[in-house]
Amino acid sequence: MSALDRDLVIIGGGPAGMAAALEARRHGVQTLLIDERTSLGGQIYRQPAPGPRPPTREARTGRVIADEVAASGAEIRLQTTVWGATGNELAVACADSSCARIRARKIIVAAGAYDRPIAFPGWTLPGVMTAGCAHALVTTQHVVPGKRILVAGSGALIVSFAAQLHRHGANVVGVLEAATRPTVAAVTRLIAAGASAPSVLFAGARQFTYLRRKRVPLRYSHVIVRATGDREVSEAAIARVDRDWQPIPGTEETIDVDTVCLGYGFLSSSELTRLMGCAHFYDDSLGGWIPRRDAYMRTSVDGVYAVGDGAGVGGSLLAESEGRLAGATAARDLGMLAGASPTRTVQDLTRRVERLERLRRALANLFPFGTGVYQLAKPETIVCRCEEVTQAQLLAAIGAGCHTADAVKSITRAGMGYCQGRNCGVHVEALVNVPSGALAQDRQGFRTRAPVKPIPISVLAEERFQEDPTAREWAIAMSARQRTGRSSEE
Amino acid sequence: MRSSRQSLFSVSIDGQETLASPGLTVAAVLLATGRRAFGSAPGRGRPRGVYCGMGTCFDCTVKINGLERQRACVTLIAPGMEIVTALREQDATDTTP
Repeated sequence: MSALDRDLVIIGGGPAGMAAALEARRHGVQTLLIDERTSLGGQIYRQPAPGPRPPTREARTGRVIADEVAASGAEIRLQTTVWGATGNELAVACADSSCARIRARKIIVAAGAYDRPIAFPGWTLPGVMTAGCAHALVTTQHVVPGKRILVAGSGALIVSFAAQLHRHGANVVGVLEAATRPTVAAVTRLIAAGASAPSVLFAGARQFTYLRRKRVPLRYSHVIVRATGDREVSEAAIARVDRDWQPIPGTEETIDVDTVCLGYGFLSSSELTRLMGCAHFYDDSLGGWIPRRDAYMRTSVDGVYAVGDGAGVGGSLLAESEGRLAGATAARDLGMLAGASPTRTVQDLTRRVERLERLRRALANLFPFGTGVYQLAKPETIVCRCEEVTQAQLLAAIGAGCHTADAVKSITRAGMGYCQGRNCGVHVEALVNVPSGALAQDRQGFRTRAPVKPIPISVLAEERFQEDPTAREWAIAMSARQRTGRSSEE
Repeated sequence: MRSSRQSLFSVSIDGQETLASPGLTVAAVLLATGRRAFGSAPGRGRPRGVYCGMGTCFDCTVKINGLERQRACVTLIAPGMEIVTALREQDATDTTP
């Protein structure tokens, strides 16, 4: 194990993290950028395997930015996972199973997001996958994941994904949008807000038109309520839903499918900011647990900044702007902000973030989220995919007196598996918090613990037995943070 | 799997020799060969396929070069790789879901 000291460490090499690195380097800040994957770019700028089609526009854009980052003098560590963190120290595991601790004066967390999990009967069957997964398979892996594909979820992105699947030769049998058809008022507001980034609106409109031209049915106010099949999915049951996305009895019908792509938006990967003890709030439309920030991307913990989809899902344009702002703020906080009029720089960046934030809100209002979709699980439905814990087992634990998500976790093992509660967390929280009538500000989630990602035991062993007097203090500091770091209002 | 022929290399999937091309993930190669339920639930081992496709869920894990529970969706295929899927174990023990 080695210990490193750095002025600035950026976690996550997607649009937000790369922009933060570029901005920080402009001011001469010594910068270390860490990412888990084999190349920079995050999920949106995934690089394709060599294949029959030219790389997508996203892949090309990502390559250009990644090259700029490489040329900026930022130190880049790929295939490196941050599995533990305090406000100024990170524990990382590297691809070769070695580990390191990194002390940082400033930390920018740009951890991204993952598909919002919606548990319903059959969602664990092979052939049921996230829309992001299917999209990546066709655009970067040149594999169409099935012959009869149903896309279900909500938001402009599923229309875009469905269109791209179709363009790559997939037979998309239908697209289900859980929200109602957008109102004229909502569309008008979106167009007004979209003036700051018209390309986003044009791209979205193009995909809608494409699906209509190809006669792919798009049904509003519909969700998938059940997937069935022997070993693999072979049939989907769909139903009409009300405004809160609650299925309306008697509206069910079935469709023959071999693949179901789910795209109910995204949840922020806020595990690290939660682990560091930053204050968070809960908001379904933003992506679950969101770190509180000031206008300059500072969290409530000194020296820790949060940007991009990991700090509220808003897409790559907003992520990039937030990243640049955080890079400039970190430089300012280090006393290194360079340029002729440094204050102007920060002000301009702040205004751009505010404009794009308005666009994000208008887009979210186009397809408002309905919590009824969290209630699709039946007693026998597996809610915790890793530990295979059913809805009935969760309800039994709650009935037996478990009144917090952590108590349910201790009794049932839900949330203890490989994904560390990323997929079952929202469901367990909804079960625990809703019946008692708890308000959003009183909501309690799983307490985040290190390691936040699975790591080989050899990494822990190396960490544990290192002859380093600070190791023990560090472990104590981290567990103290976890005790006090319960996400709550300040 | 469609790529220029000269760059193809051989890998082993459940003991079967299969051709693969560089840059693909193990999951893409398995899907391209028609295998879908190649993973297994970490708990009781029921069949699973690719779900998240980004390394979060661990549903698509397979044994690669002797190492258990490697994520097929984020592992790049490499020449000579030996992959053992849950399909083989399911056939051997018939674990009905």
